[in-house]
Amino acid sequence: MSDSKNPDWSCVCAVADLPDQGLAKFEVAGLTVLAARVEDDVRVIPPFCPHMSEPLVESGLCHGLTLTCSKHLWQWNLKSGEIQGPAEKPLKFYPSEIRDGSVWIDASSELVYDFDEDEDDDFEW
Amino acid sequence: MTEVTFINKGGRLTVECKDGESLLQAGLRQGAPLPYACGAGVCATCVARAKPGTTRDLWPEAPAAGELKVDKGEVLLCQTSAAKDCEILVSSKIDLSSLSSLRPKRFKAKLIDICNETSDVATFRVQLPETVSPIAGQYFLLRSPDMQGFRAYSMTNYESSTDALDFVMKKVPGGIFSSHIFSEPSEDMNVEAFGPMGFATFSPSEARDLVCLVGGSGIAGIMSVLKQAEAVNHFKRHKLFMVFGARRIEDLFFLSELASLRATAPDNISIHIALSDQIDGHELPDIIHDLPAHQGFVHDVAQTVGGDEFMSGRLAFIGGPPQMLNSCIASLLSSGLPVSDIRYDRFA
Repeated sequence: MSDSKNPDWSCVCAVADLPDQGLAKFEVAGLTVLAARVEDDVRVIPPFCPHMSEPLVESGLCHGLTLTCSKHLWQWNLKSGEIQGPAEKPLKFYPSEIRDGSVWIDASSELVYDFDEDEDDDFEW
Repeated sequence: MTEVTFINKGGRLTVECKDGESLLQAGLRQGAPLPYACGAGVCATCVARAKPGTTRDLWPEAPAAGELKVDKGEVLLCQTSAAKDCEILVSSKIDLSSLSSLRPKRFKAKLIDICNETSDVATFRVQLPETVSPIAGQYFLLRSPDMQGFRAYSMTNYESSTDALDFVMKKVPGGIFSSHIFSEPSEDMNVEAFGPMGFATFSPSEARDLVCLVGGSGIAGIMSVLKQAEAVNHFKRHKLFMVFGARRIEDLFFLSELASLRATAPDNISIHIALSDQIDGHELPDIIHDLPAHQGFVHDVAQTVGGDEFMSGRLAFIGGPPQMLNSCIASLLSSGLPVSDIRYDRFA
């Protein structure tokens, strides 16, 4: 469902659909996203770990405000997206808000991580 | 023999690569500080890039092969060999001028002393032609002549210098190595071995209490850790809380070794059995082989029996199937352990 006044925004789910702790996977406006409760708010993130594309719906562990990818134990603060521990890249968040008990995001562009930080795509052999 | 040059923006390092040898094994045995975790095509930690046509894929069906961006030339260093002299682009985080002093080697070895511990778990020994000095918790890569890729197995024994490595293996339906062990056990089978490898290790200089959460054959590397700890009387001064899980009583093994270990320092060592399958019509015995037994998954039993106080502040070693590892990591994190205090290998 999209917002009639702002078609870039789409409804992801009801807040009640989210587990108390952990990530839930949704398809919305052609995007795959993961959503989580964060205190009295929510966060919506891309489905992959920014490290090596690990699917976080399987390997993402939430405890308190910390999200841990169990593949290589990268960690982030799920409220701020900031790095904790050995992680090297922050989490990206879709702009989100809660409207009448539902989670809405700006789905106008897909959030992706740069897995080519060395710019090896342009490497000239 | 070909020349392989690992390159990145910081430098370059040339090593020799034998015919059919993986780029990872060639690099590691010559001190190249290459990234890896499983060394067996599972984890994709060793992803690098190669120019098309310069390399040969040793195991196209490797589990991690599906994660590669083939159009960008990505390869798994552990499953790729050189087809000709070539350059391999690795992460710029690697300092190619800093050679490692830990240099695993490749051996032609003999697999001997196969022993069925349960219906789907066996132990065996690999006899090397020379001694090695593994760190407790490390693993070796093993391959029989008819296998495409190596598989990773943690040693269960610990000696500071040895030519005999002991392993435990769970039966894998359809697995080639598994079929050698379980279906056609024969003495003195030839195998290739490469190692020692791995970072889920223990040093006695780490004066820490330990927590070990393990399931099935995931106990392997932890047995090595415990044997070294026992050898240096670690548990005279430090505590161990351990939960060893299996589905059923008949799936358990190594119980006499664990009971003997506990007897060396009963005030400091606490070892529990967790059985995940319900026993129809039978009460679960309170004690199995002198060790207290409980119904449930390893992480649940750890929380119920030990609670946070038995886990927080300790150095954790975990081993088992992927879902069990995830559950145990979640329990340990919720008990307040930093990720730097959680050690494990992920081979599956």
